[in-house]
Amino acid sequence: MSLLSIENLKAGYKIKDNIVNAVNDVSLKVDKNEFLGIVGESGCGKSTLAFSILKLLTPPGTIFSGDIWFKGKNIRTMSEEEMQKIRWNEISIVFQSSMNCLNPVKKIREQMLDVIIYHKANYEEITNEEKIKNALELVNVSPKYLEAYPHQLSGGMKQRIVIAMSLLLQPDLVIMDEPTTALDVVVQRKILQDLESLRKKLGFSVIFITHYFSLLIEISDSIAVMYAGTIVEKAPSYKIFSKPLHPYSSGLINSFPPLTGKRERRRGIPGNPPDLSVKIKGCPFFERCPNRIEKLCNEVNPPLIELESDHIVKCHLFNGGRFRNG
Amino acid sequence: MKFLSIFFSNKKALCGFIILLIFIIIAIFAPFISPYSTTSKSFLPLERPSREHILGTDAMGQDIFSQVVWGTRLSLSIGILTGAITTIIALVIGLIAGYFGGVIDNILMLITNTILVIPGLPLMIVIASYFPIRGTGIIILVISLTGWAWGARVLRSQVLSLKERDFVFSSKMLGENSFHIIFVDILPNMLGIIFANFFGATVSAVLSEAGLEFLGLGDVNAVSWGTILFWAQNNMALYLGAWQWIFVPGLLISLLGLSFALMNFGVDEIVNPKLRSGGENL
Amino acid sequence: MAKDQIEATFTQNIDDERKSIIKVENLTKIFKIGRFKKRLVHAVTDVSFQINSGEILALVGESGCGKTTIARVIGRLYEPTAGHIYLYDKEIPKKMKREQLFEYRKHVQMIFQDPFAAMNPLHTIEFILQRPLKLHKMTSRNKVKDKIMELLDMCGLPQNEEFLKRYPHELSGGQLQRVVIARALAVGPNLVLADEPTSMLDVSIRLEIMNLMLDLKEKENISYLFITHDLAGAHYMSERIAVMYAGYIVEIGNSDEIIDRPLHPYTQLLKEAAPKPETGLKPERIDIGGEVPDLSRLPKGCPFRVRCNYSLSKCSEEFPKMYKIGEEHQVRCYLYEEK
Repeated sequence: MSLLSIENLKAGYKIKDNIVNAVNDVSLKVDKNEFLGIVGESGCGKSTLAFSILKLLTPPGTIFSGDIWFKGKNIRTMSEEEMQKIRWNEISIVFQSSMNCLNPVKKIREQMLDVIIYHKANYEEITNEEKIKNALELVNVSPKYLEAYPHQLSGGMKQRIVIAMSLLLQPDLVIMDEPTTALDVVVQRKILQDLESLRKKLGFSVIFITHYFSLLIEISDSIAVMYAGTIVEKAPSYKIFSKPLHPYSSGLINSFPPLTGKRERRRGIPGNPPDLSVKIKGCPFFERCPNRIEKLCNEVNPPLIELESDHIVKCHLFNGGRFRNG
Repeated sequence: MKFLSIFFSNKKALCGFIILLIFIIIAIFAPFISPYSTTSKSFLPLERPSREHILGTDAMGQDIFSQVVWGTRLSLSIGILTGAITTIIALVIGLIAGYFGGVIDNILMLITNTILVIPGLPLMIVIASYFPIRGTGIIILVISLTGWAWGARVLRSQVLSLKERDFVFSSKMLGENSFHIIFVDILPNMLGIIFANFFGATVSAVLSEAGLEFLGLGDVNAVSWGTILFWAQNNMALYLGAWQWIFVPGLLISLLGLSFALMNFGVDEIVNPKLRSGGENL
Repeated sequence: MAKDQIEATFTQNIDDERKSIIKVENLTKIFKIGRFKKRLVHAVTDVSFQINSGEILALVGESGCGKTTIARVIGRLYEPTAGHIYLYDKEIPKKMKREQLFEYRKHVQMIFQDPFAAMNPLHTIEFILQRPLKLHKMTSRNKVKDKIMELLDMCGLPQNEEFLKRYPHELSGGQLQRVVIARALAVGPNLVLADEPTSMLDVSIRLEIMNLMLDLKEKENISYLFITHDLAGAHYMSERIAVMYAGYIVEIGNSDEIIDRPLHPYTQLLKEAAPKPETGLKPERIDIGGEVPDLSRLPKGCPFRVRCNYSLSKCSEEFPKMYKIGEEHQVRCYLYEEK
């Protein structure tokens, strides 16, 4: 059984009479100890998806339909008290701007203690002080920084502390939404390195959301590509890199010029992402797709096709090119 | 314009605006609203409020209600005019100090900080009392010359932050001169905070004006709420039981100040989009 | 100084192909900050490089290494503290007169990281593009509209009235960045200082903007100083790369060579940290600790020595000079002293 199973999730925003379908029928599975990457550009719905999993959407944001199964229980039917027990304890979340969300007038120690006390994780084996020291050690931050205020710390340090806080209660799943994007490349790489060692040591799953495709390939087990609110392809990371099936996936990978190898011109993806408040008939990538099939792709919603047990793609091209009526 | 709709959607700002509007209407239509002339002394002095004299009469036998209505004109106009002049002085100094920096900034800030340190009202009292003439012009002068310092600091820091923005750098890169950058790039992007400053300065001006007049440093023969208070105090109104003579002008002064303070909330919403209500942004 | 004399100072011989457009020598910029202006921030120290006609030099480094400051000093938004800048091989005075600076702006322009911050939000696109044309009298009055349409065409923007009447916030990031480029091109510069022009754009748009810049280089013979923190982007755009650390250039040379055989330990670190899935290899483990130093508290000697695995004793005494390895490749590191 998967740790997390999202089934046909639809979520978005209701502004007056306008409905924005930010998450448009997403189905995903995350196994125990799996590192799943979700890649997509801004406005593709990935942040809404992250918020939805923990039911953190506030009006006008809301989940329209679908189910979210976590350890066999349906999150959608849980009450707010039950959700509070799950948040931070079993599923935690780290945002890009998390380091800016640290309370500027409280010391780090206090903020970490707040997490433990609020989520009532006072298990008696070790003291709270030891818990937070251990957490900092996990992310290679010296315990002396417990006495510091956020403004005294560098960006990389703050983000490490935020990651430590997300692991304080030893959750089974950590969702990370662009956690290292604002940091320099060396700092980023080191944090991700340490995160990987931690995963091996503690055993937790990660959903890592970012636009940085080439980085994601190196750190994830599998990758789901998100476009206009849907998952258009999902496969093991190196497979999606060497043989991307969906035209958007290959276009997106192409937008990252390789570091090594011959210098040559590459083509990106022309056009702009679609407006999610407008209901789109057929495939949302139609306008920009170099391989589009007229009268099919813009009329019929592409089916989700399972090519191998670990490779799915949502595209007419892999349907044997068969026309589907209606 | 979009900004007007944001402003009026804020309930506090709407409230403040309505109060101000009422005062403006009273001021414009004073000749029609006021039952008697302010100078007719033909009534019995210190009458209690009655149907003929809604607020009673003062110690000289003049109708208080008429004075209050006519007084709206002066109190309103002096307050707003002084607020405007103070803001303009603050703006000019803030722009010059903030944009040019260096020695000019140091000198201007030294002057500004010195004025800030000196307590406002006592300073105004001292300056006003040393002037050989008394009058509304003096009051306007004194208040604006002492009240610009705080605004200058605020506006200067706004200029300092705008100066480092990329669109100012790009104007410089294109070869624009300082005049253009200050008036076309920086100033229009400061309008919100300039208005906020204006409203704040007006509140302060209304109260300072009332204070100076109360002390008799204005033209005591002019009719404004402050001078009404001066005469009331001098004639021991409370002791004589004519509490409404003091209370009503005092209340109106506070209301006028309040109206501008409330409207400032509306300006805040315009200046800082994050404060806007209405589910506009996500 | 008469106007034509000033222009003559900055005129370039168009026949000369490998003509130097900009050359900086020992450029240094120190900022004085703090209440009593006591703290010194060594933003740029002893930087030297040259950019020739139709060439792109990438300046790569992490945040706080001084790369934006270099662009601003060359763009004369800041004055250099020391060193020399040459435009078309003629030296620019340290303090420029207003007319000289105005003339200089025709030759050296800048494009910025955040297109929304680089535009006055209260101006229409037409006004934005008109301004440099009118200011520098690039065409006669009745030809301004035509020139604007030409610029729109050059930068892949819609050439219609409706577009010109829009405001910056009504455009997408990619479109607005094209307007930023069009505005810079309006005065016909030979050098464009591009300060991280793609970092704030969507991924699929980045390549388009980079390709636009490459097209303009080929068609209009424009040189660029391309500033970025992304080594892969630098490799894609430019023939030559300069690597910056703590205000110094630590390595400079041919783009392919720097990526294939990075010499300076910092360049090696950047390469190790950068994603390279095309190699099919698992990323190597980085063991170097520490972070980029505070530019107001630089240690004595080489600023990288604190983090360097190969540091020698002399690294803490004196800062190394640039050592030449081969034709075009230079490194600032004692490891290469005797080569």
